[in-house]
Amino acid sequence: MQRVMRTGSHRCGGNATVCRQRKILVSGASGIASASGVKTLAPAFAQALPSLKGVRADYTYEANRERLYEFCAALVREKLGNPDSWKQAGGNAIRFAQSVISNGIGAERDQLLDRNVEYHLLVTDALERYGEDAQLDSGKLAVLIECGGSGYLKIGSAIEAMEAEAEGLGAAFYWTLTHSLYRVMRLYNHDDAMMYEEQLRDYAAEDDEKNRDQYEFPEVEKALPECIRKTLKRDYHAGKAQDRTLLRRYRKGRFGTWIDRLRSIEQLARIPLKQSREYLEDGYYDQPPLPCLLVCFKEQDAIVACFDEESQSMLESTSEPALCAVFSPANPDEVRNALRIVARFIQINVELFSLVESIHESEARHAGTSCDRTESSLRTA
Amino acid sequence: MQVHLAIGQNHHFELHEALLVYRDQQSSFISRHDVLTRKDAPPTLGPAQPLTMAFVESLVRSLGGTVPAEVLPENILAKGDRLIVWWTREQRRQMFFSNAEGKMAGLNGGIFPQPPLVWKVTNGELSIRAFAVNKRPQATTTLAVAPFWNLSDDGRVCTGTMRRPESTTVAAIPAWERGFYESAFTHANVGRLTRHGGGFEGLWGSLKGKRRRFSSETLIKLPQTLEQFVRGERGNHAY
Repeated sequence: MQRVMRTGSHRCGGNATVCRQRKILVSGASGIASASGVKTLAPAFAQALPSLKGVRADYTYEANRERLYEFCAALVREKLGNPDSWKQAGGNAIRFAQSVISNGIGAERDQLLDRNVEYHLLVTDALERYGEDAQLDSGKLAVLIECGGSGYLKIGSAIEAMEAEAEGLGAAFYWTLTHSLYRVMRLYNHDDAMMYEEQLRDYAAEDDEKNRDQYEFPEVEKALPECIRKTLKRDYHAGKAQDRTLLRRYRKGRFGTWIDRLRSIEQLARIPLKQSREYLEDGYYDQPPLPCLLVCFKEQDAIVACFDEESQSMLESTSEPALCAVFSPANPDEVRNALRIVARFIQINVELFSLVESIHESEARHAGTSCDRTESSLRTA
Repeated sequence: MQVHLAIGQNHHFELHEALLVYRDQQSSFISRHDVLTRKDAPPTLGPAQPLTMAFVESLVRSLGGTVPAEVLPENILAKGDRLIVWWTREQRRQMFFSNAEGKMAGLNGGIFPQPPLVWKVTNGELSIRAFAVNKRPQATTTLAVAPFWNLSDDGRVCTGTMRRPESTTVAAIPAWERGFYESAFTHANVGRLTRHGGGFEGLWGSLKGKRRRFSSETLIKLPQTLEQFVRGERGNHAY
């Protein structure tokens, strides 16, 4: 049959038959001996097997690299990269994208994050699906941020100081911080520790009576500061309004810098940016994202004890990434949305760990404690 | 923060093995050779080794022998690794003719009623048969010659430059049908295509632009059943 050229008026002249023409075989040309002559199976040569001289011994093949170049082009369109940065990367697309992203984060912010938490940012064309990597469809890419080691915030003395300034101020600070961060990242705090304790008590109840004495319970509620314990079961909305009023009132006071940081975190957390969580549903991850921050009240308190127990198995199974944004590099709107999601996550972490360092410095100034929980061996697994 | 990129793949292939195919008029055999590489010398073939079933299986798998599972709609009659058979009801389609002798020029681009058809794609080749009753055919349903040019006597379409999808998936069916009807019929391969008194030209000339159904009386019935067509068997009798 003959393909119809719909867009033009071209018609084949002459014989329109397009069946494959029968090839004329020349005797010997294909290595087949003709009936008329006798022919040796191989030319007279010391080596009976054909020579591979001139045959290429290797091939290099790049698959789906066009998405990488599309991504680089998108970074240039968004003015994150330019011809100079391409030259600096020596025309290497991966080096270019890495350096452009690192420059976008900024050295100072990057160092702040590195001091406090272990994040890995990955741009990939494959996501976990049913426990295995699967290619994303139709030119899509995903930007993931995975947490390899959580940050650490010891907030007890800060809460105590704020409560001394005004009753309820410490609790207001704690709850506002907790609820804002919940919107953007996973924390390990009193809530997780209480759930772990409850689980432990269930195990004990189901165990043989003779084994029950062997359980040690962390008693998390007793370890909470009184202002937190008192507000554990309060009405969420009413509590939130009270907290906001109290924090606003003391914004100009001695804790103004912390409250301003908290306000920035709260505002960033409220920006309506939808991550591509639906892509993670088929990933069959064993657990939610690793916590980006451990929040405790005192050195080695019950929350830390629970975290240390639970964190032993956290890296033994697959965890969802802390952030996932799927986008098409060819679609500027999707690229911008993904960049906004990443930028918000990084900025909220910058505000958070600036606050964390400020709180820890203040505590060190006033109490002279020296144990450094940011030492990686003490963090996740 | 560490930044990583994992987009696309970089494959580096090195020459490891060679297959030599020996063939005579009836049969062929293949020998497998390791490729020996030495510094500063062209690669050479090692001694022949027998082909194992495991090697052949791995070769088939690597050539795309694994077929993803699919939900089959009602129009699918048979499905295999490299085969798909489906049927279409009576319908009206545009047909194009482009013959060197100018035959059928008056009918080119017209809309014509079509008989119910069975379509088979196997190893990238399209075959078509017609049948009489406008309902899903059974394994024992007897088929008829599809009254089209460019079909050989076993129903194979001489595809020429016709657009052909590469796959035999359910999703590729519309593209196969589109490719067939959006190509021009150029020549007859089989002596007789229809029982119509006016022959091929008379058949399609009587149908051009008509709203009536395709008459099954004009089809040349074959002894071949659907089951035989699917298996690539020609039927009990010569035709």
